[in-house]
Amino acid sequence: MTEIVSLRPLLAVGAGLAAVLPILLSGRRPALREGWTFLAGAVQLGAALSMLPAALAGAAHVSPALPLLPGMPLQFRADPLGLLFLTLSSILWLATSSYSVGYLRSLGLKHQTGYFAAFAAAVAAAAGVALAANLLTFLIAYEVLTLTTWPLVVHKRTSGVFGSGRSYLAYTLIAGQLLLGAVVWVGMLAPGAQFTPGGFLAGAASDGVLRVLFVLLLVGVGSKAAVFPLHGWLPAAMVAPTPVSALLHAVAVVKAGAFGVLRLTGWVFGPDLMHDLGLSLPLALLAAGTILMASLRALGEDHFKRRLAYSTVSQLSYIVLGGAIGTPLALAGAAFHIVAHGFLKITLFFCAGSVYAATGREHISQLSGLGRAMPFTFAAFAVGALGMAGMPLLPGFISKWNLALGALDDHQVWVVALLVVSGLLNLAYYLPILRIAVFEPGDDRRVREPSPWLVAPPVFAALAAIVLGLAPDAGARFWFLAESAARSVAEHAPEFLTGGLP
Amino acid sequence: MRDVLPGLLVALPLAGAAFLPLLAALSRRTTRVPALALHVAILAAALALFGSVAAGGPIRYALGGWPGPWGIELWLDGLSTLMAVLVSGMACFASFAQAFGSNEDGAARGSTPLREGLLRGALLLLVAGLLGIVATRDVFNLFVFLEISSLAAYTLVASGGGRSTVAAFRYLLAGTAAGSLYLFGVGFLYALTGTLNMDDLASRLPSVEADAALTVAVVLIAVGLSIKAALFPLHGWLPDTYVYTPTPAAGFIAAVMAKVSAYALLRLLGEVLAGTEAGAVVLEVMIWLGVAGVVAGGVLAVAQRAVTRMLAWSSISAMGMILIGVGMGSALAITGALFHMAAHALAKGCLFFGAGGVRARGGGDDVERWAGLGARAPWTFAALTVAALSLIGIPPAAGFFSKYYLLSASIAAGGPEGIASFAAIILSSLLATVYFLRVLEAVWFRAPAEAPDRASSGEPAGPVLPRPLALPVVGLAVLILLTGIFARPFERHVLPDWETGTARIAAEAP
Amino acid sequence: MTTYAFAAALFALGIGGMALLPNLLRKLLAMNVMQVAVIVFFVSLAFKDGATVPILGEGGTPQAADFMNPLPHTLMLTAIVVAVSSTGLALGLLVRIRSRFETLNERRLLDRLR
Repeated sequence: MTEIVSLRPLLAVGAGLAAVLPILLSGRRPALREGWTFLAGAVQLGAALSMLPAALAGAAHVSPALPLLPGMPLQFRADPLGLLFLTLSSILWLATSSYSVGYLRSLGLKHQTGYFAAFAAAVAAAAGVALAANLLTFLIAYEVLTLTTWPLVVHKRTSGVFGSGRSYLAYTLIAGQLLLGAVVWVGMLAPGAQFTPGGFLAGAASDGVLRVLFVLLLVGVGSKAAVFPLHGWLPAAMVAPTPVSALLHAVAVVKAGAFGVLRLTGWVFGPDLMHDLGLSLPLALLAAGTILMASLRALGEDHFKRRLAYSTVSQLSYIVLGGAIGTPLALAGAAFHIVAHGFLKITLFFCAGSVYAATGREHISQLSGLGRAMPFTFAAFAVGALGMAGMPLLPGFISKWNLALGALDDHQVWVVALLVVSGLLNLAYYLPILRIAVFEPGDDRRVREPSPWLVAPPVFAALAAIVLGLAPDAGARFWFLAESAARSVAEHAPEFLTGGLP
Repeated sequence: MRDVLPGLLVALPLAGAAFLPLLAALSRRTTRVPALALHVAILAAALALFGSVAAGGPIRYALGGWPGPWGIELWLDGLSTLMAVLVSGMACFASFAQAFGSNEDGAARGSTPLREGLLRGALLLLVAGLLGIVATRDVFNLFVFLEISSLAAYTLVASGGGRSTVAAFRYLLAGTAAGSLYLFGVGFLYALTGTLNMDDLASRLPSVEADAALTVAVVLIAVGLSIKAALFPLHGWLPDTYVYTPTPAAGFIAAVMAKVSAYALLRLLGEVLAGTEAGAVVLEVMIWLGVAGVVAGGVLAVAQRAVTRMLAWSSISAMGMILIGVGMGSALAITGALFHMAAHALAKGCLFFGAGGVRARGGGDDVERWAGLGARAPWTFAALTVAALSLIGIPPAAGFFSKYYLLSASIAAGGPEGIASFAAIILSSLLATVYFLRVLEAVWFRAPAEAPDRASSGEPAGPVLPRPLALPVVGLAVLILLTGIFARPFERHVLPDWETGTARIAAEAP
Repeated sequence: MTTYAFAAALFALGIGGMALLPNLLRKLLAMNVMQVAVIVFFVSLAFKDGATVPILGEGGTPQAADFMNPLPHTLMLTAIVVAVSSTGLALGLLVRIRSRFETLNERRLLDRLR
């Protein structure tokens, strides 16, 4: 891959970071403060899009390397997979920012300045995860992401919330330390530890050591991706304000974990080494178990946001599953699912937040009648729910279809059955929400749609999802990015894995 | 410059220590400016030496013109100049805190210019002793400087009055025992080799028959210095001392004292005695004790409710990590140990200045009393947060890199001790997470506990800590980040000297 | 050899006293015993049978074997200075402790500290 040394990756990562201080300093002037957020979001998106043409031409923007440790610089590279995640999070950051403005103001939440500052820092950290060129940079961004999200989780500052915050930190920081240990170890085995399509660890150590390393790295990234049994923090973290759950616990944080799993399987170990070590199938089974387990938990959950959280746990494991299978189509499907799930799940969270802002209700059983009172919100919700279940013409279908094809390339027929079952389970826990909201009579006739700030973002996200489902390669070229990321891995994989690539 | 600076590095603080109380007694005016100026001059000398050594190689300096092995030599290489910069730099912050920040501290109640002058003299004497340990190439001279620094430290610890006198006395007992053990060991070494010069010792030791006397010598020296370095389980003096020392001195003593002794251990065991069989065994034992200290210090830090006592136990954990690095002795391990000395000195100094300041302003020492302070002094507490995160090992703060080097060294070392150190360092990060995040949660997110007197009188709350203390706190936090980001140049500069040094000694051995 | 054993026994006595005695003043005295042990050790290092002080007498070429090694003695001058100053400081501290807490018993003092 041709490399273009430029400052654009730094700009993409630095935009959010640079906004933190101005936001903190303009706490007394909300309009200015939120202006900084939007400015930073626009700069980040602009930087991401400006790196797209190079990616289309098969090149990548690379930042200058800052030497930190022997052979391990701090460096950012906008390869297709990173660019995909970066573009997604900057688009959704902008949407979430406008939603946050409406949400915080209509609920009159305190500490808004700290909220926006931590948000900007967290998005910058997610951008750092996306563009990290090596394991060290990834680790740094990952740890910063953990810490900057903590203030957002404990934003309500009640004692129950502190408990959830501690459990969030316990999971992610312990995992972070294991990741640190693993990164040090990898750094000793393969100096530089630079993400390489197809992996760089083959032959670096004995099989036993490599398996131990894989487990350490998987625990490190898998805890953020909420892979069973490391998922406990995610439903607990739903105590955060809804925009936080929307962007961070549907996009930035959990996606950073799922993205990390893809990096791990495709760019550190590589599909062929995974197969040789016999790691692919256990990981795939783990992902399958997570999908089913979380879906069943979602069925029994009445708390609106927590049901969405269990759905997130389940959906993220599709990405892990794709990484485990490792065939090009499966990888492309997994990468595209980052985008698909991002748009769909943020729609659902926006809707849950709008319901809370308009009525103060947090439980599904209390939703009766709201469908008629809040038609735009629930229309958007319907799009999100159906997309989650994998309905054709919505983006969730594209990722699952490719996952299924990729699994068949590897003769793993059970995956297709799993996808069907989980799609049905998705319907089983999403449709009742719609049924209660639309068909059950409401008791309160004064409920109306909340302010336009809260209605526009879910509608925008739902429309974007529809466009993405109809033309997955339009606009930001998400499908192209997903496919070329998968292709770059496959080019280094042995023959039997490259089936299905045109 | 190279001909004068090494002598100046030790003579300047020594002369200052005598001069300042005299000046205070004669002029009956405050001596804060001359004291600060002296510290800055010492730092300038240290920095100049650091640069000079980086550019022109190590400097050998014969005190009084008597060359070694008969005279006393000073030896300044990348390693010792780095320690000198660290010591004199921290001293500048401490002197600033002493000059401007201690007005509301218990230590300074009813203070007179003379008393202040004496305390400033004691700080200078402490600096002189520490710089002497760092620079000297003579094992007996090292004992003298060790005792000079210790005596000055006891004085500073005791200057808080009340409880701190008890802590100082107990510290004195431990410190004197350490010094005597060390001196006993030096006696054995002298009996075996007839020399006190480190280079001379290193070249003669290989021809000395490895017998019980040599083993006793190595063990006595190691135990003596390990007490000063607070190696578990010889750390008993540390918690009370750190907790009851008045703020300006605590920030300095907690930051560098134990580390300079660890440096002496590195010099003697890692360099001079490295070739002996007993030395190798002692180093291996040191790794295991370091592992135990890392874990025990962390666990006991978690158990504390008082912030300063928690910080003290965290120091024991950190010293364990440094001594693991010293014990391993590989280039990676030494880099990690040195880096952790710097990283931990900056962070612990920062935290002790901050915690002491809060305590001095009546904020109390319990974690609960820290609730809500972040909103009242955001800059200071942001700086303290950086220091805490550095000790946890969150990148890009300096502490992350020392842990990275030490973890790498553990993997490279392999074997049971490698695995144990690897696990212990990871575990210590987790424990640090627990005890520091508890404080950070209180500082930033919890509602302040109502102070009964203020709440009833309705007075607006004063500053959280004496305002001038904010400067060292924030300054050190900036240094923590800079040290982290510019880790590589540091390593490139310091390590080669160490490697050529040990290689030279290995080459001189027949 | 006897003097070495004596020094070692003295040292052990001192360390043991510092660790075990309950009273701070007694601890200080034990500390002095320990310091003296080191001095005894160094001085006995320099001792040689039949040798004399290293001052040149009249006539003949001086033989190293005829003189005691002066270095340990000079070293011990410094060590004595160190011992005196630490003892002085310790006594000063004890006066303060005694006037503030009205006891020198370590256990009682530690109870007051906590």
